Amino acid sequence: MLNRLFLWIRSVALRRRLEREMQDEMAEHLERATARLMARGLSEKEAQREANREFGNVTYLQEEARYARGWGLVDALKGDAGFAVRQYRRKPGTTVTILAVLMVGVSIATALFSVLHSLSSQPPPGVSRDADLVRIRGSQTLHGQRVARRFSYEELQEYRRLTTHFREVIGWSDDAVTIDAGAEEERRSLPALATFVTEDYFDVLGVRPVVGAGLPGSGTGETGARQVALIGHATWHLLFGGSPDAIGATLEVNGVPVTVVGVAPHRFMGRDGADQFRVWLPLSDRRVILPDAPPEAEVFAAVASLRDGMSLRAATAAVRVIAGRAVPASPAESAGRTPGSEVVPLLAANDDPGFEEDLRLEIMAFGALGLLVLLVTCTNVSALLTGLAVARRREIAIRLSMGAARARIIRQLLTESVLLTAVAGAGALAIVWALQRVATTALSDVPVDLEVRWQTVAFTLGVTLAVGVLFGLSPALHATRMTVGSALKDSGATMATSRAGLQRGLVVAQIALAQPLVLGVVFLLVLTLGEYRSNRPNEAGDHIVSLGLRSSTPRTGVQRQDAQSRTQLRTDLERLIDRLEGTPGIAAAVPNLPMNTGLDGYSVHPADRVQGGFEGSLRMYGPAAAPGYFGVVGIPIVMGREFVPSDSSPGPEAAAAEIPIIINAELARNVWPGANPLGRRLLAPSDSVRFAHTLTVVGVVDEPAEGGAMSERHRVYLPPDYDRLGSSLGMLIRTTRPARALFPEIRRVVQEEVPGTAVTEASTIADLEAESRYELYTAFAMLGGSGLLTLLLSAVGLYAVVAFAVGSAPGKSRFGWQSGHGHGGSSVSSSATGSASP
Amino acid sequence: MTHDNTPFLPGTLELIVLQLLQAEPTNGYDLTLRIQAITNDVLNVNAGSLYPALYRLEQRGLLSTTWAESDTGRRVKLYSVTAAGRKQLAQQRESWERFAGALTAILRVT
Repeated sequence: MLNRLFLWIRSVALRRRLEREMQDEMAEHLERATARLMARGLSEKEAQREANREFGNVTYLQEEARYARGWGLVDALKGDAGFAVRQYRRKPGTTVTILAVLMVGVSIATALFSVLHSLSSQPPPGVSRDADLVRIRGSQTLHGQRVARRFSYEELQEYRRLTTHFREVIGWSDDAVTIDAGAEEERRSLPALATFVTEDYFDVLGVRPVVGAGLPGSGTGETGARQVALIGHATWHLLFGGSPDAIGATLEVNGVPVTVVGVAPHRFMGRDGADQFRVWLPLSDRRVILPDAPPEAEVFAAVASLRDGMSLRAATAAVRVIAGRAVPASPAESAGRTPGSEVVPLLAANDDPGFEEDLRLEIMAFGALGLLVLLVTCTNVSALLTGLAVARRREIAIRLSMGAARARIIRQLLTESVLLTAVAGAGALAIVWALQRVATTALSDVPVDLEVRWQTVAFTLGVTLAVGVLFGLSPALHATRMTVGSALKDSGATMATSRAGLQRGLVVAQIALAQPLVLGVVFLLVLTLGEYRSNRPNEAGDHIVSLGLRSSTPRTGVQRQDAQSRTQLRTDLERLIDRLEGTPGIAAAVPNLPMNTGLDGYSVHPADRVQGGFEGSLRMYGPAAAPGYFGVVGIPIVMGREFVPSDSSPGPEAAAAEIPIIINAELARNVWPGANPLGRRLLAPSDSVRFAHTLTVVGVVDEPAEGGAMSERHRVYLPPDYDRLGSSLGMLIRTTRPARALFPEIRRVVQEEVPGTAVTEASTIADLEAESRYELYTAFAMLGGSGLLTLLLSAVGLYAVVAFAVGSAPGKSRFGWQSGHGHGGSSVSSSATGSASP
Repeated sequence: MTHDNTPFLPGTLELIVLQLLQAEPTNGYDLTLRIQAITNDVLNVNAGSLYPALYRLEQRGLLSTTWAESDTGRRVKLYSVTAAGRKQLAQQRESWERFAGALTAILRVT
């Protein structure tokens, strides 16, 4: 069967050549027959005539030959398609509407399929597709939750020794480092991600450098005692402008000189892509770059190449045994922890143990959404096609009366609907392709390659074919069910009322379902607008710098949280602040500390209430404010004082303490109206176990109220919790002139005062507010667009039903009678709308 | 139609074509001459029957074609039987022999 299908497709594809051969063959036959007859004594003319008579009607014979090759169906379909195009040209408005609706529906379904297919089947960007490549995924069950786990070096080595199960096992660690790429300020202390890899990392992944020879030990590259590195594609462009001169250049990674020996392919990002600067170095150099990195740390991930015939299940059983023996770095980390490992196909985003479960949910959710969109689309298109068929009932009736088989007309109508859906499908593929190019360019750290693959094309083809046949068949069947007499009498009663009722029902259901969706969109729009209005811009926004710092405690690469590191960090911060405040152009600098989430969300109530004051309890939203914070951001203190260095918040496990707080005027007015709020206290409920602190008001700020709910208009500022200092810090800097001009000076001061600390972000508050407004605008536009689209699709469905009702004979004759007897347009319109509604 | 009005039985033309082409690949015109010669002009295939049959058999994968040069230097299209065609021929021969044997037995009844 398949062979015959292939032969048919081949003969259609080679039709011209086969036609020529047939002509040649028949001409040769006639020549030889003529020659034979001439040999018998006939003249040339007589011989030709006799040969032609024997041969038969050449044209008829060629036509028979074409049918024998199965070209008859192709010719018939071509004729149908040509006829369909001429029909659609007569009704351009309806045709464009159908195409637009179909394109929207099919492109949404195709886009969803493409994304889900990429997530569920594609390896990380830049990695070759190889069914044998698998991920050895570490996991641990911690207090009932299953989370990701990396391996220690010993565990990685044990996996590499499983040669009966794997041909190769590669491993790597991702560590935060600082790169110096030159003497210029903007090329120093750049935050980067270093991936230390085993020697066969790139070979196993099938990744070849686009420039340079690559790292040693992979069959290419240089050897020797000096350190070498492969840099990322984006890094290559940012630091070297994409020039081949990058090869052989020297970078300093954590102060250690390394030579660039290669550039990774575009979009190859290994595991993480968020960092702008990426380098890959041999694992053997990790001790050099991070000399104090604890050797027992669990920082490695692994990918392997399965041996032929080895199943994932068998490999998982083997790695589980090894994982069961894994010893955590410290006894404190082993409590409540059950380590595990499994072997899964290497996909772009399946390094988390919960990936499969999440993907299942996403497939169900997006699959349902896609189906719903297709259903809405098909309902509308079917209604429009029915309307078109109604308008052609005379033509169909005449064809039936002239002997055309019903099946022939149904085939014609189906060809028309399939042609429409095919064009819409091609348009949808083009839309999805364009959107994916935009997404890939705009979102360079998307962890999966979004491409229109053959599976997506096949999906679109299948969907368009199914839509064209399923939703074109019904109108076709009903359009050919009428009797010739009734159609010619223009009664239209035979245009199945049950069909029209079903159509109306579907459109009503669609409109009914669309209402909550539109309401939801409107609700989100209002929320978004409210959030926009509440975010008032800071008037001094371009004089305040938000600085992001990363202290990677160089030489370890591991983010320690012990007391000694935090004390050192605090000392470094204070020294940096002193130096910045002594810099011309800088008025003040404060740390921008994270919220004390140990206190966040708790309910507190006033220790003493005032008549007319707020009766309920308050939920704590406590941003931390370092001493000098309010002066830097320009929030005036109207009563009391700022925080002083001796003010601090206790940790979550600390004993009950009195914590000074600063509140905003709105809270003071609501809770203690007409009274002095200074010295007043807020307490937790007496039965609170985890929160027993007393919050005492020491200052009041005049900060504009935000939001509509009362809880959103209350602000409670706490002093910083220095025990929660981590390696990622922030600073706010107030300048005396536009801050942008001071960025290079600020970077220089940071590098000089705190070497090894990278500036991860430097923006003015005005820039951050503009970015926030842009995100709001984008959300607004997307929500608005979704709402409009929903309304448009509903309107199309409604239009189709009304058009059908007007176009049906009873409607036309009634409306014609009404118009002829002087009824106004509005009367006729409301009559038409009434007849369209169920 | 035949020289002496002996019609082809339905389905036999394909059997004849496959059998003769298996014996010797040839082109359409020579095939008509061979049928006439072997059957002593009892069966005469005209082009209107032969070429559609050849194309049908080719479309079903039972025949394959090549172009070659004849002795006279003319370019001719040669048909030959494929493996699938040989299998089909064997099946059709068996069916025909069974049918012919049964018919002969009936015709012997007096």
